[in-house]
Amino acid sequence: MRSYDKPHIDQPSSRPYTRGDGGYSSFSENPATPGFIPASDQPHKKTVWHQRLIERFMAAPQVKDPMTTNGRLYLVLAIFLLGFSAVVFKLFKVQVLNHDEFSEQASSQYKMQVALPARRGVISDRNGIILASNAFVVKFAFDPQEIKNKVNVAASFASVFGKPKEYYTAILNDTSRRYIVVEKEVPLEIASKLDGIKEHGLIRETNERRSYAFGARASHILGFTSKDGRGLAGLEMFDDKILRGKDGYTVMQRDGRGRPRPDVDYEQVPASNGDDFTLTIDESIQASTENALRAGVEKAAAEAGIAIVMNPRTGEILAMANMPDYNPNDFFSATNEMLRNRAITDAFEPGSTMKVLTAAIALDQNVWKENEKIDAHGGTWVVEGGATIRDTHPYGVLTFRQALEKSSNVCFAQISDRLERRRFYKYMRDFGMSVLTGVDLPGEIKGNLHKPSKWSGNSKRYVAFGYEMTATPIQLATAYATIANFGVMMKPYLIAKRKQSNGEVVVTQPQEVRRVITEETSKRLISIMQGVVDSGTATLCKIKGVSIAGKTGTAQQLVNGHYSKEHYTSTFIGFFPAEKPEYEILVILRSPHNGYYGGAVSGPIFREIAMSILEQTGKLPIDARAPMAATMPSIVDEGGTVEIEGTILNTRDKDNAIDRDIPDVRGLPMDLAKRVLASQGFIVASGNEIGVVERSIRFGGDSVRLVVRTSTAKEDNVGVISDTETPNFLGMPMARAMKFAAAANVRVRFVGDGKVVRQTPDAGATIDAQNPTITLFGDE
Amino acid sequence: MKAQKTADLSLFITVTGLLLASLAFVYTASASFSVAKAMTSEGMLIKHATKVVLAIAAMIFFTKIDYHKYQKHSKWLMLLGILFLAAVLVVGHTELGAKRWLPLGPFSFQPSEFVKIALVLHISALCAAKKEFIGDFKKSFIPLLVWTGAAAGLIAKQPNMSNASVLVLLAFGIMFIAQMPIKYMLSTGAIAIVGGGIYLMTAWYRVQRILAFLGHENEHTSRISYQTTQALIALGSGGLTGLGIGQSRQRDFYLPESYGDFIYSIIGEEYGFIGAAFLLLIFAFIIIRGIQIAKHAPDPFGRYVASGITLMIGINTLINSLVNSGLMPVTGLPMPFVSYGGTNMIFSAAAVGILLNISKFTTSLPDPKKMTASIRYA
Repeated sequence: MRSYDKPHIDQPSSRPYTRGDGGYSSFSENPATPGFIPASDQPHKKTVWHQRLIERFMAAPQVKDPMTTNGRLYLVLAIFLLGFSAVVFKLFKVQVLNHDEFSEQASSQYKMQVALPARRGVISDRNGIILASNAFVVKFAFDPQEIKNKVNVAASFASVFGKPKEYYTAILNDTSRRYIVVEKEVPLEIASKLDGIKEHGLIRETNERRSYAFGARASHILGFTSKDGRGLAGLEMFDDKILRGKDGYTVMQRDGRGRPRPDVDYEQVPASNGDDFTLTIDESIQASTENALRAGVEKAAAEAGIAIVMNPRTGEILAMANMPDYNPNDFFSATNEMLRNRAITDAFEPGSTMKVLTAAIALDQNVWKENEKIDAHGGTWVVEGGATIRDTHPYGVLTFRQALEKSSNVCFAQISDRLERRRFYKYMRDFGMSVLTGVDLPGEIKGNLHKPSKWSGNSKRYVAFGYEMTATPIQLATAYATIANFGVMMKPYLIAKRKQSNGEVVVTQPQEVRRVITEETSKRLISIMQGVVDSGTATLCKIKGVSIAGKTGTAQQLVNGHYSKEHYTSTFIGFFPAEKPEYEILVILRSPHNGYYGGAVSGPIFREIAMSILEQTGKLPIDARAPMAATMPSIVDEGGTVEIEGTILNTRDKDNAIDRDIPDVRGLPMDLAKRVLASQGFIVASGNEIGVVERSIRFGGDSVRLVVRTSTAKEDNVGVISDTETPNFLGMPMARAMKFAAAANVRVRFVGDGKVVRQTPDAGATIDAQNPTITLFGDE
Repeated sequence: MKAQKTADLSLFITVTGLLLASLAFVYTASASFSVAKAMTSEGMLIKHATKVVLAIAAMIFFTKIDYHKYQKHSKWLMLLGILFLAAVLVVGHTELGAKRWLPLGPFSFQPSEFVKIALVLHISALCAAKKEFIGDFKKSFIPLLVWTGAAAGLIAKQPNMSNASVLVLLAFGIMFIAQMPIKYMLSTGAIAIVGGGIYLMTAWYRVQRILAFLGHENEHTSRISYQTTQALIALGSGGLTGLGIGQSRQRDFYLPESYGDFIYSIIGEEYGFIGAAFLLLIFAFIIIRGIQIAKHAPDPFGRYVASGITLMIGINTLINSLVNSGLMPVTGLPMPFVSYGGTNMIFSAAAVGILLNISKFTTSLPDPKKMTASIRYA
């Protein structure tokens, strides 16, 4: 224990820590003896380190007079100037050193490449009647952030499109996106119902959609396109690239919201529109062909029907029809059966029609004479290997000519016996069997004809009357056209010409494939084929005053390895006039259930088509116009009367019937719509000359009023090929002349009625642009 | 004390010039937005012009008021400011997720701007009063800290982090000039950084901003770094001499707030490096002038207020230009006198008015014509 009475003076270690003059120690507890505390009793000895730290921290330092010291003021200024310098350095780096890099970044975000869509080429028939063109449709999209009255918009859409209101409400509440497509390909007629909605967030875009004004007409030739404009079938697919053209683009400047900036010169590469096609198809003949085929298929209760009309001189296909058919405007609802173009994709055993080719070979090879006798063995002939060749009707001895007229299998098996098998095969190949015709359509198949090395003992005999081989309708039509063209095969084709976007017109020249038989042979054969119609199996095809040559075929179909007694392929192929054939018509019914002889079910269809063609071209003899008996009950042959149910079809009057369908011209530009309607004999009235057709209203007979929308879209300049030369109307009935004139975009004036016997100006004269009216004089 | 002479004309002309020039800047930067909003390109310009007139009027008005008057009443101004801040939290209207505006008739004003000036005045008054014992932790630092903390805390609550930080920076700046021991401020600053860091992390958008600045890309940050990217594109494409008046392309909805916080980038785009650097030079002049006024102020209060106002303008300008040039994460601070007229413009101009009034009392303020000399001298 240390005593208190002996204080130590000036003990530095005992002094409380002070700093600065103004400071004082809060620990100098003893006021009596400041700084004079015995070391043994130092209070701070008990304090811990953090207390000492605080004590030291809070000790007030000596402060300089703020009014006279400027150091801190300058320091603040220096910090600011330093900061500014840093900014200036960064600016120099960004704006001067890296300027190019940022400029590029800037222009790349301003630039926006906007596609300038190419117009898909228009497809018209040989006379300029437009079959496939482009209609305007509307696409609706929502920008939910900009749509104010969501309830109203959802309700309007629900009532127009028939979807539940909730469907649209859900989309409208998705504000994360600013462009949601809700309805596509809306026809103007329906889109106009939503004109009342004035919302910035409702985006309307006008697009083009392929439009087939005549619906199912020529659907298997034309095909159809997908929504994004790709050809998926038919010609649309076959020449997709040429029809589609090449999209152009323009480079626009856009702002941060993606909208194009005005008043800037944009770099532009114009679209190169697709080529406009003119087909070899004649819309009128196509229509009659379809009508006749449809009626014939219905009457015979056939599973399918095929008809081809061809010009044997050139190979031009004038019509090509398939049943069942479909409407390419609505191809989604079509079944595969309806979509098939059987004319080129179905190969089957042709049966008796093949006998014409066998006969042609035999005559060309000079191994048979026309009047040489052949024993038909009473309709049954047992050949090597025990197989039996049968005829439908028993015959005794027939001449070569009669063998074809009566279509005897037994005789034709014997006719083939004189033909050397490789030569026979080569002729068949030359006639195009098992060879693609190369017609301008996708998916053609080539059928099947085995090489002679693979033939069995009887193969040649079977091929001679159309079995043990298959062929497509287009192959048969081409082979028969060869005979009609006096031995020279022409390549079948559909595209007469196409006009490129630069205005150049590419015309297809008829293409000779080869000479197959001599002219003499073909003429001899044609005279035999005339006998088929006059007194053979095809008497139902007869038209008074017109010489027709042809051949029937009734082939049993191979069903599950056996020749069926229910499924037949019933064919008639013929051409006229026999002296100088201009039209060849092929008609095939597959599996007719109401009669099956080619002459009985296909023959009348042929006759119906032929009558229409003759009527339309003004070549129908006066005496043939008289109405014929509704039914022709029998076919007479040597062996007696054979009862065949056959009916004369009458589809032609329907063409002029009051209830004929109005072409669908919705969405088409006004001038185009008028041409389409006028080509079908409709009289068009409308308030506006420019614009797009919203809908058409029919007033009774032939008057149509068009409701036109002017504000919707840009005018489409449809570059349909129009002739600058006056067309030839001579010989046409007035009705057809009118149709023809509408399609060719010329005005006509009629004097008289009936057939055109005179026209001014003459055919071939240049059309006067100021006064394009042509006067036609009738014979009645 | 009576004013000895007229106010500093060079400062008045510079600030008035900036305010008038802002008409051109704002017009070009806001036209597209105006059209989109109201179908006329002048809509926002007219609003801005009204506020420019108000700002110039405020500047002239405060030039005429003897700054010594604030010394006595600064506490009440400060209390009023705190009342405003409390009010804005209760009745203020929300914009972009924060309550920053107080409705005031047809206008709405940001109380934080008023508080900045009130705080400058009050801190200055306190520092002047505590001149003799400014080093005393309890008697001087703590009270100053309480005032600052109260105001900054309320602003941070809005939430408006950048203005709260500016407020703290401002108060410390004045204290620093008033010879407050650095150890107090540094240790408070250290605590504030830790506390502030925690506060930053409590709000996701603040973290996103920092991440965006650090170059971390994700779908949330892309919008924020988008602003910086677009600001740099604006500056960069402007080049040395700029695209020309009215030629900005970034203003067309590429750069959000092109007329507000990012107007400096648009100026850089249209007037180039030369224009942007020249604008900073003008601000440097204002700051130098402010520091000179502070230095030559007749009394500590005048000295502190002048420093405070200079700091206020300087901090705003520096942070705004750092953000525009991509050197700092995006904050919501406008460029004084130049950005589209808000409360900030009017209060900054009013503050310059106070500064100008102080300049009337200065002794031997250097001639601005000899600026080069004075820079060396300063």
